[in-house]
Amino acid sequence: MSSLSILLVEDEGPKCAHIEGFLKDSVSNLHIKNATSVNSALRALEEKLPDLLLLDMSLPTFDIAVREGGGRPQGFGGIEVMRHMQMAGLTCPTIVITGYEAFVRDDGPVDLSKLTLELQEEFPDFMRGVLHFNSTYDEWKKSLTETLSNLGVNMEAT
Amino acid sequence: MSKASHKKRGYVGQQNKIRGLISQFHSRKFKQGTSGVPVSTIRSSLRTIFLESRVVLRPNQFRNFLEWTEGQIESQIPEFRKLFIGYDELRGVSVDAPDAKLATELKWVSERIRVERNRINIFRTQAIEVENLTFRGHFESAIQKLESIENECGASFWSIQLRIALEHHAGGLDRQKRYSAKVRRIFRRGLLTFISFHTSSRNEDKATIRNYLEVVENRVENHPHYDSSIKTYLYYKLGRQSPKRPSGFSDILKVEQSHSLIDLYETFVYAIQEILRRDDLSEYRDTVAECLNSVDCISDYRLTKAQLFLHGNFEHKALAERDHLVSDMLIAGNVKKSLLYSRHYFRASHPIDPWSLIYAGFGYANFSRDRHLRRGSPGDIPKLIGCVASRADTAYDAFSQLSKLTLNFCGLPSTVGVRDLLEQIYGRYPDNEIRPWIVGLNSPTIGVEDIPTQWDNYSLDSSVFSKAVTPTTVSWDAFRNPTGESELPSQDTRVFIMAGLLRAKLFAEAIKVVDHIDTEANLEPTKALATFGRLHAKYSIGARQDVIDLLVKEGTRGFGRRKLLPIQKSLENYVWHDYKSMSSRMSAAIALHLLWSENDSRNTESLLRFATREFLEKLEAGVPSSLYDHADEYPRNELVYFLRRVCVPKFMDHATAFRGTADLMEERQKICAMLRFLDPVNSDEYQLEIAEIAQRKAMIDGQWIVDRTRIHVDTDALKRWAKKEISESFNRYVDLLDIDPSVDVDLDQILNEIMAEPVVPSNPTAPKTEAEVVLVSLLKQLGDQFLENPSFGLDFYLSKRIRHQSFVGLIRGPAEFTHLITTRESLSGEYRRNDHWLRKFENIERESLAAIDEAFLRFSEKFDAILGFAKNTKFQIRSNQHRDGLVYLQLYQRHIYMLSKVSSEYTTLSEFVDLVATMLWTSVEPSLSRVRKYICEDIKTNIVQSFDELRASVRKHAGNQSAAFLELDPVIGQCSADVQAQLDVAAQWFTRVLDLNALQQVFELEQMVNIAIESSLRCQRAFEPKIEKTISDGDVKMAVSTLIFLHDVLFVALDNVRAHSGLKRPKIAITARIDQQKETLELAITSDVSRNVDLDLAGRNIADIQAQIDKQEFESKTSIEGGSGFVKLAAVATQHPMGNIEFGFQNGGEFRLGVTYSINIESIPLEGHGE
Repeated sequence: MSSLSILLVEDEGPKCAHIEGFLKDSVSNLHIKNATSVNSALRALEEKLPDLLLLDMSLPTFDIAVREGGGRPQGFGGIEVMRHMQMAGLTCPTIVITGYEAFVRDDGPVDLSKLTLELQEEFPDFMRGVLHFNSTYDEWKKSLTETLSNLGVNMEAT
Repeated sequence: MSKASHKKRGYVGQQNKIRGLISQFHSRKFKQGTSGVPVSTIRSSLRTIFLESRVVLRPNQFRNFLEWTEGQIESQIPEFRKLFIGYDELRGVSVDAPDAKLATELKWVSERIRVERNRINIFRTQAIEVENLTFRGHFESAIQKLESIENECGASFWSIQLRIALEHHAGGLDRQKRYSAKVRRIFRRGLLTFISFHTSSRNEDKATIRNYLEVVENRVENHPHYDSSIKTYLYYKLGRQSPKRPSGFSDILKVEQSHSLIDLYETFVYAIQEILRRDDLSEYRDTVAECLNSVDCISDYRLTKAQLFLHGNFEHKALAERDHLVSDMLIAGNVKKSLLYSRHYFRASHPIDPWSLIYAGFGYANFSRDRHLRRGSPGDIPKLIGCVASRADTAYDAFSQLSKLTLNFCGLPSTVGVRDLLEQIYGRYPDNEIRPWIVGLNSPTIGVEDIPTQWDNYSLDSSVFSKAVTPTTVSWDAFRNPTGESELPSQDTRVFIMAGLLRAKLFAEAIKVVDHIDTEANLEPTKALATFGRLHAKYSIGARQDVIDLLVKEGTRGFGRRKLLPIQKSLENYVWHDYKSMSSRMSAAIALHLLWSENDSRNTESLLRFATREFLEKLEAGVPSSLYDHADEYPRNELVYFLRRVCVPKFMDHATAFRGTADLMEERQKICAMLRFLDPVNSDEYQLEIAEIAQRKAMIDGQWIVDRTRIHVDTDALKRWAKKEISESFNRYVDLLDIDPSVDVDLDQILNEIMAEPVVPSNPTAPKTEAEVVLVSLLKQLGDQFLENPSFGLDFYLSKRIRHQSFVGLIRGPAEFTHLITTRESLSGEYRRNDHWLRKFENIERESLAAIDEAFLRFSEKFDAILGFAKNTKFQIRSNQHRDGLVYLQLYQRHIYMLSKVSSEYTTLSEFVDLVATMLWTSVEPSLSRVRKYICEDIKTNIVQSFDELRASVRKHAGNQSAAFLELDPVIGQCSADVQAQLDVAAQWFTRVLDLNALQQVFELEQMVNIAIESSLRCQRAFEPKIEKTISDGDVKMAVSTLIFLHDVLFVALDNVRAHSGLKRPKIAITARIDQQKETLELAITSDVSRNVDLDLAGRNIADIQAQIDKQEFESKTSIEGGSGFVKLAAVATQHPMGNIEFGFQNGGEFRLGVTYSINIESIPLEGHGE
């Protein structure tokens, strides 16, 4: 059986560790690749489309490193990645995992449910769900398990 | 009861109300000038009866009732009409007035106007004079005429709004403001105050219509007392904004009936003109025709024109025939003569015709010099039209001025006509309907332009126009019959055919005509109109790539051209596929940038970035600067636009060629350098940008150097110590090296004395000589000083540059800035209540609020505990006092072996110390790595956990849909991300700089001061001092060592002010000066101090610190934090005889810190690498 390839786009180390840890415990035969900025995500997607894209919403433009602060912070960097995918004709099942329950936009605050509807409308071909992440409770694990099962991923007992 | 009898009873009832009112006027209660019933009450009652009557009566009863009423007033209270009205009719709005349908409103108002025909006719005669005087620049006379109208008919919004505009042109802002203030004082409440205030702001020279309308919308929408009808009315009155629905016109007419008869009349005219302008209101045109018949007793060319429009047959003798001399000469190509004649025309006294203004304007357009009219008056309208039509760089400014003028003077019909034409040519849509006859609705003359194309049976009939065949009439006939065989006066006249074809929706034919115009037309305005025609046609047939191409070509040819294009409406429905299909990807990016400049949309921004990336990918080097060698392959204006506006970091940062911010900055500099040659007119602007980027780079480099030198040991000072303390031992070691006798020494044991961790025997053949024993002893002593010397050791810098506020300030900053964290009431006390956020949750239950309060307290406590533990326990040199300290030397036998092998090569103590220092840095590196790991993993995880706990707890108690939670959640999320980013920054502090090139950089004094301030405030983020700088650098650049010291001084100074001034925003004056003769840098920092500060106590503390410095007692203070900043500065500054530090309160109560630091200007010494 071929392994499931996942591109995890997340710039926050602790959150990345939580998600990666959970996936490794839950899915066998897994290959996870990491990207920590919009640009590295775009590069990775263009290089090889993963079986699944797990995408954070708020991302820096460049990978943060020594002498690199990340460039322009993109509060909706996840959407930027998805728009790029759409325009470039890149399609793979995508799940947004965000720590935010509300977002600030020019037209006022928008909650996660509204954003989810907007994303589903804008990216109907590959958007599979928006999950809320908080390390203090396991709701996100349940949601992720469900979404992955719906995508046909064989989940081990978690 | 039948409806008819109900209405009949209503009729009698309304009559009775009028009788009652007349009785009231007759009664003793009313007496003008006494305390009886004031006349305003009578007027108000009459208004109320009228407002009722229009819904109580049948429309066919309106005329009888109103004529009967007027008869009653004239016969029984004739003095009522003679009473002075003044501002009485602007007192307020009858808010309880019932609503009526638009048709009913129009019929009622027309009957009211009919009854008041005498007053209206007097008003119209004088209004024409006002317009005349205004256009000829006789503003004072126009104002006098307005006063005369007000004396006769009472003040109206029409007269007040017009007068504000006239006052502004007659006497400037000051006089205009005085007048509007006087009007606003008449009634403290009501629409008069609101309308006069906003009309006044609309007239200010710096006001732009777009901003003005935004402000009005904001004020109107948020007004607590205005209902929807008043809001609609205000949008019309203040911005001439037409309601979307018919009911909006009913609202406007209803509200206006509370005001002056003049306002009611002008609004009636506005309403019927709108019904004629707008096809969606065509169902009301029969009603309008009926109303026009009712008011045929009014002498107003606007009503005559409306009748002409509706019926197609009119008594043309009622209007003068339009003088076409100007247009005839213009169309025939005799531009100068046409202008000459138009000057004569405007000098004469006759009603102003908008077509005369327009034709004169197109004449001016042929002289395409840019016009800067600071405050254009109505008489300048032709010149402004000329500027717009010429597409000069100032065209958009002229257009803005025209929009403003025609709004401020919209009480004058000719300006409304001009406005109508501007809408048709330069409106928001690419396919604006071309209807020149709409302009004629506000023209006092009749001409060929006024005949709608739908009048199929019209011809140039001499019974209508005396001179049937002129260049103008022939041209307009070509417009009406664009497929006919017209003998045109000139190639430029083809523009009429083009407009006619567009009007007839024959777009393919229109494009062919435009092609002809492009190649054969002579006049600039013709070419400009042809561009709009081409856009109209291409847009209408859905030729999307052509539309994009045209907008790019035209939009990149200057600001004036760009701003007049209907970019947003042209492109708003286009998708990526439309741009993708462009043959030139650069055009796609430019078009998207043009669109983004208009709509500021995130979606467009994404498309723009993608298009830019796609284009850059195709270039050889993948970067815009590589276009330099291919510049000739692109139209110059497009290339310049692309490089100047699209190739900025914000839009090109997704291109694969850029790996980071530094790449972007460097590329932008290269682009600007290219642009200096490609666009030499703006060379200075590009040069400035290059310099700004260089400054920014210097700031970033400086910040990086400051951060990378936080971990430091002053090797020069170590050498000085070594010279004093271990010269003898070193000399002995050198001597012993020559002898090299073997001794039986347990080297491991000696090494264990040096090191905190046991030695791992990694080299079983370790040499055991006496020289090596001395070497180990030297190493131990140097190692101790290296780590712990109170003036120059690692712990001194750890304390000064990391533990002392920097670390905690940096990490706490984002949480303080967003008010998520509070401080303790005292050092060991409770945390303060988070009132900032709790106030937002005040609507939830008390228990839940208490739980949220608790969550915030727990968050503050945990956050500080994590940082405090790191600072006090982990960021320490490991010792008995700090057993969990993460920093210690890890020396192994191999180090001793290596040192013994190479040290024989070094004959001087200085070289030996350098060698040892290098080895010590190597051995301390694992510790630094441990600290970095600790920050990035342990601290980060714990801090993120504390944010997540706060989020979860507030969510639990407030619910995830509460407005306060929805406001808090993104703030927590962003703050968590910011804190993590700052932890990454802090982790990098524990990296010793190895890039010697970076250390050889030099900085100007001002750059250094800016870097130091920015870096210091980054660690004290919630502190917002007002800083003034005085810098005299004598054109000297200095080395990194000076930057580091300057940063230390300013950090301590600012931190001291933050902690002790008692002020959140104190004023701080920083003076930095270089004394080139003495080779010193002199810094002085003077700051405000709150009056609440106990100066006596502070003075005693200062004296204590001064005493410690005088006695050189640095050991006790320099490895601890709090109250030790000045001592640490003194420890460094006073190492040189020229160095000095002084501080204290001045006579004015300000605190001053002065520091003198020795610098070596010529040799530019580096810290740890000089002397």
